[in-house]
Amino acid sequence: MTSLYRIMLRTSVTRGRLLAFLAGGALLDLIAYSIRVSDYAARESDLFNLLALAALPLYLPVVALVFSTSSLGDLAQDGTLVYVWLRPVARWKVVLVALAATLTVTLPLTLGPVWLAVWLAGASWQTFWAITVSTALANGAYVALFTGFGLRVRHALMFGLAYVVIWEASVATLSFGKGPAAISIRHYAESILSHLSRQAFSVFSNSNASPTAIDLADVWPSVIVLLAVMLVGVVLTSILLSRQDVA
Amino acid sequence: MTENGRATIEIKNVAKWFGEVVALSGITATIQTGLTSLLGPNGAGKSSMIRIICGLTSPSQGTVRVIGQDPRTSVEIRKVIGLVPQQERLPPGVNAVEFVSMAAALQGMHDPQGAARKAIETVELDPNDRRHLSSYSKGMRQRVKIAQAIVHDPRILILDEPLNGLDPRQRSRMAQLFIRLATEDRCVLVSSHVLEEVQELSSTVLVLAEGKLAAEGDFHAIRQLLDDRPHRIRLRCSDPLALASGLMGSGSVSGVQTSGDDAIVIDTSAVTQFRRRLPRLTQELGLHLLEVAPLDDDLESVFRYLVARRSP
Repeated sequence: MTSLYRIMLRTSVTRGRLLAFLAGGALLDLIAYSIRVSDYAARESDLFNLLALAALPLYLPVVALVFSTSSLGDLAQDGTLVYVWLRPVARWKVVLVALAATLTVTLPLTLGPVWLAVWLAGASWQTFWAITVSTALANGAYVALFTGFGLRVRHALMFGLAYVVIWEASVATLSFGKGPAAISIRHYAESILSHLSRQAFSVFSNSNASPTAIDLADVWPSVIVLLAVMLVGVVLTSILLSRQDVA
Repeated sequence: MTENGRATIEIKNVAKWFGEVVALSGITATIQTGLTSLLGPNGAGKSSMIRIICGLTSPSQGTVRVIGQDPRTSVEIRKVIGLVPQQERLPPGVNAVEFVSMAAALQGMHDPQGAARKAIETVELDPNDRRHLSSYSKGMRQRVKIAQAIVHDPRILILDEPLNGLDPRQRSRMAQLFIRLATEDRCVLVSSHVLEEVQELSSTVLVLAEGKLAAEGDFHAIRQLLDDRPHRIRLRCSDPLALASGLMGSGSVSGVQTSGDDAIVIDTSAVTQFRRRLPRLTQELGLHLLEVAPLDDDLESVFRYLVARRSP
């Protein structure tokens, strides 16, 4: 499976994609740096807003979308899936390899700029830890979701972008964490971030009151939801792969 | 029939359609151990047939059994089958050994690298060539595809237009390889749209045309069938009417039509006799023969004839 992992990694990682997302990450860091040099009292909550409005709902899912829809989707589109499909390997193993290859790229591409943003803004270690956990889990959920999407849907990138922009970045913010937000990955990622860092997001809360202590009982449901999304994503993608018409 | 009875692939009343396009219709055939060629023009349904046999897609109707199992769902079949697909695309950013090693590893081989190098040498490529596959010529890529299909020594080898893009020498060498593999108690199915390629393989032939099985049997029988079909030939000469009259009297043609001022079109089912008779007749009549042009010698016409002949 190592050779399949390497081939999937090389298939999805192109110079253009890497450069585009490195530039996107650099822009995020530039904004974070500007928050730091401004040196004002509310800079940490502004950093949170930057992460809440740009990194988690937009940058992260777009990175996950581009790389995960291409991992199996590109193979299906260009006809090279046959070289994997017609081998006596369990479909779920192929899906897990695809996920591992995608996460190998998306985790550094998302965590790197986010860590740098947190550091540049002079945020606490607690924030650093919170953003790491929430970004990693959201990454896993998005990648599991979009891998099957890329396999099944033609023009998955276009439809996926529409989903990210319309749903994750817009509709999910309308009801302050209730209603549509409850079925967005962003909501659970931000909930983890909020609880672990003891910061409240202005986009999800009408008050600026911050929780005073970490209550892990509040964090676990969100963690479990994101892990469940990953599991369901793997199972559904495995079923789709076994039923796939291969060119 | 089971594999012990030498039938490896059984196709029963298989049809495949994509929306309103019928790719295959009512195909019933048995493919035995040994070399079988699937002959037909482009768009005849060969690749659809191969995809169904390999389980890459389901038939819309009918059943396919490979060593008695459904190829769509059986993991066992994937252990013993090797496929050279028609599409040229190979994964980017990898060299031949890496790509073929992946195939060997996914087949569960103990030494994927060693098996890959051996398979690459078998198709006469250099396993030490570290260049990416994207820099390979079409013929080299084709041979890499063959290498990944044979790396695990499959009992069933299916090759979709494997000789495309190969130069004549490579084509001959690869054809010899397929013949050798077939003699080693394997089922080897080779598709082609080129009659001469099938002739070189000299195998059992299934002829597909317009999604239907147009003919099947030994290559020589198929060749004879093709030669004996009615031929339509245009003849230009100095006095076409005199030639028409002479030909009708010779009994070697079944119909004559005029075609312009200096030509006639004849129909004949005895083409060999006609070829022998024509020069003698023009000499006897003192005519100048300007052109002899077969009007239906392209493969499409040949296959159309076979389909029409088989239709009830």
